[in-house]
Order: sequence, then structure tokens, then C-alpha cells
Amino acid sequence: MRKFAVLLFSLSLVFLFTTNKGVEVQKSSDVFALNSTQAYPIQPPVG
Amino acid sequence: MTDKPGDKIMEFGALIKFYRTQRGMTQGELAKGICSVPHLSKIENNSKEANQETVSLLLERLNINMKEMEENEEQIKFLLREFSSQINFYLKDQVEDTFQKLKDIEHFIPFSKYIYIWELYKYRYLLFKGLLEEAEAQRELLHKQKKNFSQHENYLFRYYNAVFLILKGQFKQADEILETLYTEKEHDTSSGEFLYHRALAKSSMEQSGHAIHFGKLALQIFMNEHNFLRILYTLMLLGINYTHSNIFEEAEACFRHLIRNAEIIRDKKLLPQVFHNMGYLQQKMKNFMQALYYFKKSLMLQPNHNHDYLVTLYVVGELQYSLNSFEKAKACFEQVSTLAKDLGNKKFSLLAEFYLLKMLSADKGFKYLESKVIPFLEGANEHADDITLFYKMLADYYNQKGLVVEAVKYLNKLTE
Repeated sequence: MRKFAVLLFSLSLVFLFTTNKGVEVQKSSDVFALNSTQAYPIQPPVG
Repeated sequence: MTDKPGDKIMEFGALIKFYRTQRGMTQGELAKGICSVPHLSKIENNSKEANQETVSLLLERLNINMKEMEENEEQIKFLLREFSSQINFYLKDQVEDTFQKLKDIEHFIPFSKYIYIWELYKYRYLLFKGLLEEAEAQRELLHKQKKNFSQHENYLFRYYNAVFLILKGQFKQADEILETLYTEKEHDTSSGEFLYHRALAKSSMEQSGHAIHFGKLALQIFMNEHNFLRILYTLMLLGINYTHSNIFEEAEACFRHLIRNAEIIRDKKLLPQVFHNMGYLQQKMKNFMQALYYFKKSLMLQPNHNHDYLVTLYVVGELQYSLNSFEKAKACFEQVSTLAKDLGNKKFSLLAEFYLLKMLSADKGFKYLESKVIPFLEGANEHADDITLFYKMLADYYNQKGLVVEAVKYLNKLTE
């Protein structure tokens, strides 16, 4: 069951990350588009 | 971990000296009929290469079985390899188990060629466990020995130092070390783990384009290895950085994958973190009610006395404040204030205090922001976005009061 889940997951990842969309880096002008709140992401473990 | 040509064999000299002393024998007693005392002395100090026959006779007199010793050496090699692989696969229980097995035979390791590798792996173990004080002590110990390191050992030491700096929150310095190792081209920097740490340092510095680049490379390697947990953690990194780069569709796909899989493997630590980051994404997409929904889901699953809980709670407070739910915001910030003090987190203590004061009186709040919060954030080298929000708030505040000079001062800081 777990191996099957891993396989399905891996296949869906291949599909997801073979997209040709480019990477957009945030522009400094976005700073002015700040909403009144901001969120902090929680980074994954360093490990 | 691989053996390279030219690697030295087991340290028989040190081994003989150790057991001779332990058995209370003089050099004369041990050498009698086998070799001369000066010859034994040279063997013990590793200044002379002894022939195998002499070594065998000396070991025999000390009741040490050569075959057993060689088996021990093989065992150390095997366990160290296992240990390194288990860290790469993030198998916490197995790492603990193998570390204990290595500790059990630790007294033998100094006689093997793995003495420095073992000390380096101990450093890696402490970093893996997040035990920073102990890791720092181990770093000091290794620093004194670094002139004796082989090229590979030197690479490991510098790499682990970068991991140490990431854990300490010194991302720029960590990134510089990783960048140097990457460009030296003498080391194997194509491992998933190395690329993951590069992505993590970049992500923490909010260099999202770079974080995505290295994250994708790491992901590919982890997928080839079927390294399930590291795949999930890398997806988390990618999700955060897609969010930051406004690539919302991909970010959402990452987090949805993560939620499904964290639920399947019942990872109690990962799931609330993913919910938090999904909230972060929804907030960025301006879906505030959705964001609140995910943040609350995250809070429900977290133990209520750690740093992650504090961050989520603070974000909920800010969100409630922006939605004009001041009573709910107040309740959150009061809780944040208490918890931040308990955890010794000055940043969130100051931020919560600012919002609480601002809700009582705007003037008092902004005075506090200017005199306490801003100097702290500027001094602590916080992320640009953290401070710019408050510069903008102050510029708006002074602008509304007609104090143009002060307003311009903060607008100028925004463009610096």
C-alpha cells in the first residue's frame, strides 16, 4: 500500500515538474504592493 | 563514504601500544624474542612500517585476534556507511540506532582509519538532532584537528559547518561556504542533501529563484533515490518559493501533494507546517478567509508551546487585525506576547506588544514601533519584507498626520 502510494506520488511529481513554465523572481517593486499583513512561511527541517 | 587508493591501513602501532599499556606490559616484555625494543617503539609511534609477521606475533602475545580486529574494521566501515545513508534518507530512528552501535565500538575506532570520519559524523549527528551547543563543542574539537584531514574530510567539515550556520540562522555565511564548495569542483556537490541545503539557505534568504533552481535539482535526485521524506521536505521548499515568486498554481499543487502525503504517512510534525504554508499561500493570493482556515487547521494540530505555533498564532493575529476583527486579534497578540516571553523570542514579543498598544492608542503604538521594534528589526538583519511593512505603516501614519518630513524619511527607507 505504502509502496503504491510512493509510486503514484512520484509519477504525479514527474508530471508536475516537467512543466515548461519559467521561474519568476519577485521584483523589488512588489515591495510597494504589500498588503497590510504578511505571513511567514515555516521552512522544512534542516536535517 | 568510499575507500580511496593510498588510504592508510589500520593503525596497528596505536593499537599495540593501547593494549600493551592496558595489560601492564613493558616494551621489553612484549618485544622479547620478536623484535628489538627500539623497533617496537617505532612501530608503536607509527614511525616505522612493520611487517605483517612481526605485527601478528605482537598481537598474538597481547591475546588480540587479528581476524577479529579486521572484522571490527569492516563493521565500523559498514556502520558509518549506513549512518550516512540513514541521515540522507532522514530515518530518525535508524540514525539513533546506528549511532548507538557506533558508540558501543567507539573505543576501537581510533585504531581504524575512520577516526576523523567518525568525529565528523558525530558532528553531523548533533546537527541532525539540532543540538547546537554540543555541535559547537564538536566543531571546536574538529577545528583543532583540521590540518590532519584528508581532502574529503576537509570537504565534509566545511559542508557541516554550513549546515551548522543554517541552524544558527546565519544564512548568508552558510550560503557563501556552500557556494565556495560548489565552485571548487573538487568535491561531490551533486548529492541531493547538498543541493537541498543550498536550496534551504537560498530560501531562508528569500532568494526564491535560486531556491527553486537548487530545489528542483535536489528533488530530481531524491526522486531517483525514492527518498520519500526528503522529497516531501523539498516540495515544501519549492511550495514556499513558488509562493514567494507569485507562481501560485505550482505552489498550490506542491502543498496539496504535501497535505495528501503527510496524511498518508501520518506525519504529525509535517502536516501542521504544510497547513501553515498553505495559509501563507492563500494570504499571498489575498484569499484571506481561506488563509485563516488553513492557519487555524495548523494551530489545532500543533503542540501549543513551540516556535512554529508562535509564528502561526502571530500571523492569525495580523490577519484578524487586517480583517478588522480587533477583539480576536487582541486575544491572539496577548497569547503571542506571553508565549514569546516564555520562549525567549524577542522579535514576536515586540511585534505583539506593538499591535496591542496600537489597538489602545495609535500614537502610543507608533511611538513604540519607532523606538523599540524598528531598531530591533534593523539590528537583527531581518528579512527586507519584515521591515518594509512597518516603514510603510509609519509613512502612512505620518502622512495622515501631515508630518511630511517624517513620512518621507520612511518612504526613503523603503526605496533604499
